[in-house]
Amino acid sequence: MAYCPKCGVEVEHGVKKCPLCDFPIPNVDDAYELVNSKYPQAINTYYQDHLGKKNLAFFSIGIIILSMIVIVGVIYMVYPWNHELLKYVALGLISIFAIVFFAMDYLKPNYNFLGAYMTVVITCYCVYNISGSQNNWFLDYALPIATLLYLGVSLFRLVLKHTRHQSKFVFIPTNIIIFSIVIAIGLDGIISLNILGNLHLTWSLVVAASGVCIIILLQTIYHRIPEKTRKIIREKLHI
Amino acid sequence: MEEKQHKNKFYSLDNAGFLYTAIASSRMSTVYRISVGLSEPVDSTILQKALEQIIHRFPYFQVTLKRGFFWYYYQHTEAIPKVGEETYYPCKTMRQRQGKTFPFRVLYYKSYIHVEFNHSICDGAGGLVFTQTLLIEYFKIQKGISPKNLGKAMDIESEVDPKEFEDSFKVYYKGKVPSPPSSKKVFHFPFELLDKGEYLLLTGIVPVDPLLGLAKIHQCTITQFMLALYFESIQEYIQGLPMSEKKKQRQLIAINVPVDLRKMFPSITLRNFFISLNPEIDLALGYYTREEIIEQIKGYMGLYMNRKNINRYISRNVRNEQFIFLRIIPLWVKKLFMPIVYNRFGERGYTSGLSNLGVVSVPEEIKAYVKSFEVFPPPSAESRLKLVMVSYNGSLSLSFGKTTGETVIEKIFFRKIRKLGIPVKIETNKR
Repeated sequence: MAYCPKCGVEVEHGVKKCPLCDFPIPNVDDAYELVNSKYPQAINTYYQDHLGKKNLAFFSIGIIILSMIVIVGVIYMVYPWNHELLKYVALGLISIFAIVFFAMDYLKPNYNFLGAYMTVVITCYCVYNISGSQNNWFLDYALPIATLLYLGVSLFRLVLKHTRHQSKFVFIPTNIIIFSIVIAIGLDGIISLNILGNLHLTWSLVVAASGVCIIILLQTIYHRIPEKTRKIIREKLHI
Repeated sequence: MEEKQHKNKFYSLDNAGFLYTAIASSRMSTVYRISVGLSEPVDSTILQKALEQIIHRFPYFQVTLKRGFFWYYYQHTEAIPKVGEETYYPCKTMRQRQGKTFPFRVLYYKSYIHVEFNHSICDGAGGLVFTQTLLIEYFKIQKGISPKNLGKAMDIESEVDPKEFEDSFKVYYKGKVPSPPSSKKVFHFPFELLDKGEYLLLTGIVPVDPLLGLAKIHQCTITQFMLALYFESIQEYIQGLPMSEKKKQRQLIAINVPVDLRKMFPSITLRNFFISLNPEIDLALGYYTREEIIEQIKGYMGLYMNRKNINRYISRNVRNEQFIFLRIIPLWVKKLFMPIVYNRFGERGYTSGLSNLGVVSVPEEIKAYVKSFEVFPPPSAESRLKLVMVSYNGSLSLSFGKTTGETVIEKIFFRKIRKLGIPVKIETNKR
């Protein structure tokens, strides 16, 4: 019989460390563990099961989109009817397919997110080319706004990842507000740069000021005012 | 004739079953396990034969889950369940919603038989009856033993009593009883979750007699004593956490204790028939000593574990189920919202669970061949650590089921038992 010297509990013969405190237990017979262990080396089938379902969904969507692209292609070749519209439809279908692929989480989260961003940018560029627009909306607005959203959401994910074990009802609203402030300032900046030609923030400052106040309020409720500050307030405001 | 009646028979889910089928997910499989250790390696052919012999006596378990427009339901199947060697993690999700599997599975590994049940079909008491019947049949085929006294196991030659599969919640439901107060948000273990699909088991085996002696000294039951030790362990864990004293004192610890209602009502159903009580200790009132916790639990149980109070829980649950606006919501909408509602209102009200299935016995004739009994709770994401206790042949199995790799609570808990001078043997599937 083997015992853990730290916990004082009996452990199964052949185990290498205590199941409670990980304290190493000298092993007299390595082969014993394999032969006599009560449980087998378990296999986790979750990812396999999950992948099967995911593949089925992805291929179903893929086949539908592919069929639609073929139909659009045939219409494009057979009927000389509104080619521009058909190009938009085909572009839309390809973009949906790409977005579904990234949403299915086949790659690492960061790559998926980057892929979705690239899809949006490329789609906008194609729309810009198909329409043959005179003004430069792609470089002036679409690219900066998409990049701003990409950077904003990346920041939001990073902050959320490091605070996810904290109180959900304080940290999630705080993060959403920070995200909104960043996006508002960015949007305001892009608009002012394009219209006025220089950086001139207006409404986004109101959003930022109110957002910061709400964050301070939430954090104060959560952490409570420090005893020292409370003492000062009590002394200064006593009636 | 009797068998014909059960063919193509439709079994509506019981009150708890409705919830379990709706909240089941890859992490919350709602599957619990009964493990039986034998003195010899299991013969899979005989186990299969035994299962085939007894399954006709349990037509309400020989079913597959079907999808209705408003609710799931069980339908009798002529298929015969197959035993399998244990290869996967315990309490693995049953792909029930696809209508492919039975609501239970019989596994074996070396000298162990594991019977895993989906909680939507039966509770621990019902599962134990099935397992005991299977064991008796196994030894009848293997050793030719026909016990005289079957105990709680079923006689497979007897007729099926419709009361065995009744929804006792509905039978003993009394309308117009006010609902119990809603639960408060309590302390939850901040442990990292394991990967989806993984589930760890850790059993501590202790002799019953010294624990009974200690419970007697404290004038409480063995469940209350173990519950007190568990509360004390969680409290000690909170005391050691790196957070301010003020935050520690804001914590409320509650442990979910299922009560087998067959002891309170004259029901013989094998399906779910239990209600959970939530004894709690509030650290805002200060830290508790073991004696204070025992007094608190005894007071709580004395106040709430009676038919009148239990009726409030039964009535609330049945009323919710029969609420017409809930019933007419299509199943796919229910499936979407029930897990959220359950996480918000169900699991937020308790830190962990402790379930005592009491003393399990097998007929004297096969006692020499049955070494141990263990029962493991179903995995849960919110309540990452749960405990089930069951005693057999003078040994008490304290089985933790965990969706986390942390062992800090069990370490404190079992060290406390060791400090009482009681030997503990630990077994786990963690590698």
